[in-house]
Amino acid sequence: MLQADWNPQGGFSFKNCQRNAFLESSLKGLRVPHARKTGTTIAGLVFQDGVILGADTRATNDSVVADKNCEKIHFIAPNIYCCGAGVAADAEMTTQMMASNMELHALSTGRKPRVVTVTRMLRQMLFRYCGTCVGELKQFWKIWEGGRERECLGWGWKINGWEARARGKWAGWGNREVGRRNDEISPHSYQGHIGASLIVGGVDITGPLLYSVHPHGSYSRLLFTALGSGQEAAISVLEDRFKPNMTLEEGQQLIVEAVTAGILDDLGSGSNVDMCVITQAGAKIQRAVSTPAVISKRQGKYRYPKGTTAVMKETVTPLALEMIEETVQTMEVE
Amino acid sequence: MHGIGRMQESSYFGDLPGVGEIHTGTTIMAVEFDGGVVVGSDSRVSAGAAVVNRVFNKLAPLHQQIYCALSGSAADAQAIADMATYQLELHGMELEKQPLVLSAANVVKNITYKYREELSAHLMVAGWDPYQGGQVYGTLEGMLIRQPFAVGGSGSAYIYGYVDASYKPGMSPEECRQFTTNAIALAMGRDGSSGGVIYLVTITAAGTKQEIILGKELPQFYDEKSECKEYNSLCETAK
Repeated sequence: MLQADWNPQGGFSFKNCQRNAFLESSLKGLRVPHARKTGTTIAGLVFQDGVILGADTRATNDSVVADKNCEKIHFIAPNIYCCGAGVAADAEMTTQMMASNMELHALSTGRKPRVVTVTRMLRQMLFRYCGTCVGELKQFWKIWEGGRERECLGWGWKINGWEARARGKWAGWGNREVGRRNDEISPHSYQGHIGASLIVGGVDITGPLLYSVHPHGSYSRLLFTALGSGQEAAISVLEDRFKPNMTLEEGQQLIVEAVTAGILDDLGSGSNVDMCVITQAGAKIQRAVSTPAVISKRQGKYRYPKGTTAVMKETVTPLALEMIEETVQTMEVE
Repeated sequence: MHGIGRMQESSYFGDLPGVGEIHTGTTIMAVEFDGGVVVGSDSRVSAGAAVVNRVFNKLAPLHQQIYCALSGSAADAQAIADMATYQLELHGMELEKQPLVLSAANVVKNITYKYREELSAHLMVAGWDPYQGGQVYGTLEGMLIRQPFAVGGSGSAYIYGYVDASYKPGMSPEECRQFTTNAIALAMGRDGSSGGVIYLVTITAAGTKQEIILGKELPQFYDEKSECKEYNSLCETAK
């Protein structure tokens, strides 16, 4: 049923979303593996010379720490960095795509990249994949008004029909000839989600800028912000101590305090604080600026020496095995 | 017109406190006067129970003398505003003059109507043009209706009585500003998802003037006034 994709498309592919939904609905008790969420604290603020971004370094998989020292501050351009919260893969891939697109954009325009451009590209992409289907879906609603029973089209993709989902309702086209190939429509026919919340910060010709972008594509321009599961803790520190036009030292201190609050008071955040300072002169990333919660040393040895458990009886049963086939494959060692 | 209800998305984005999408949960208002309009909004953006941004300006310029006020889902509203700004700029270039407020309202209405199943945002369009002067258009769910004044957003439900009783035709710009400020302040006082500061924009032939009314300067009503005994006793215990 699943056909190989001979024409690989760039960008995100949501082909499996429908299959997973079908599996979940038809096989009771099946838990589809969920994407790993970073469970993060990320924060950013604008100070007198530029922007400071901060992030923790813990990546969680439900309640297990999957990565104790992951990097959440991503490079977009030499003067623009982006912190990502939400689903780790989504944040990583989105920011990588942004970095590539910004480089191409800068090369084709011959101008240095701007923070507003990154923010616009990000939110347009997130909006596309997080909500509306543009154009195509309207047609299918019309067909659906006939009130036909929903038909499940099975696992794979059918060229002549497809299912689209809008706001939790299913619309189907049955077996009508669409007249188009599915992969042409697919980027827009999905309610695929990119679960990435991002803080974009940078210094360009217009000055220092800080934007927060949410998974559905909304954005805000702010002087200080925090996102992720630890955002409440971080925001409370920032709200209390932020002043406009702080010096570099004050700004760094505040960011460390804000992310530390997230690390200590949020279960999904932990390990170290990473920091990125961006000014007119350039950007500087510092990994593990601070480690608020040091893992304690084990108090004793917990390995038992051999012989601690007494052996009462030992039985050896040889297995009668017969050699059936022997093949020798020589390796080319020259 | 009832404010747009909240959309219940599944809580996929566990990082955000509360459920699902970012909403503006707003109070927006626009009033027409002879020679222009006054547009006003609060500044709160909420995601479930958390306030994501307390100083968000919901008045977005669509063109030089045309503004729109955003409400509903923040992502949808911002996306519609971007699309409308782009289309209007193109339209203005083709026309080689300033587009009409009616054109801007139609552009917004077309987008809202075409994708009304998928989108959940309401943009109120207001501005000034040389033909019809100040105009206010509501584009809720894809209709187009011109009104002498309009309120929108979740907070508007609490002030229908006030605006209906207080509006008088032929108000001056200053009276319109005061009317808008009072109405939004009252809504902010009763609606949990509206709050922060009040942004005001006055659009006339001369241009646009933006104002921000910060917390301390907000109009105070009977229960917040310094003569109010209950309020004073609360302040005493807080000290």
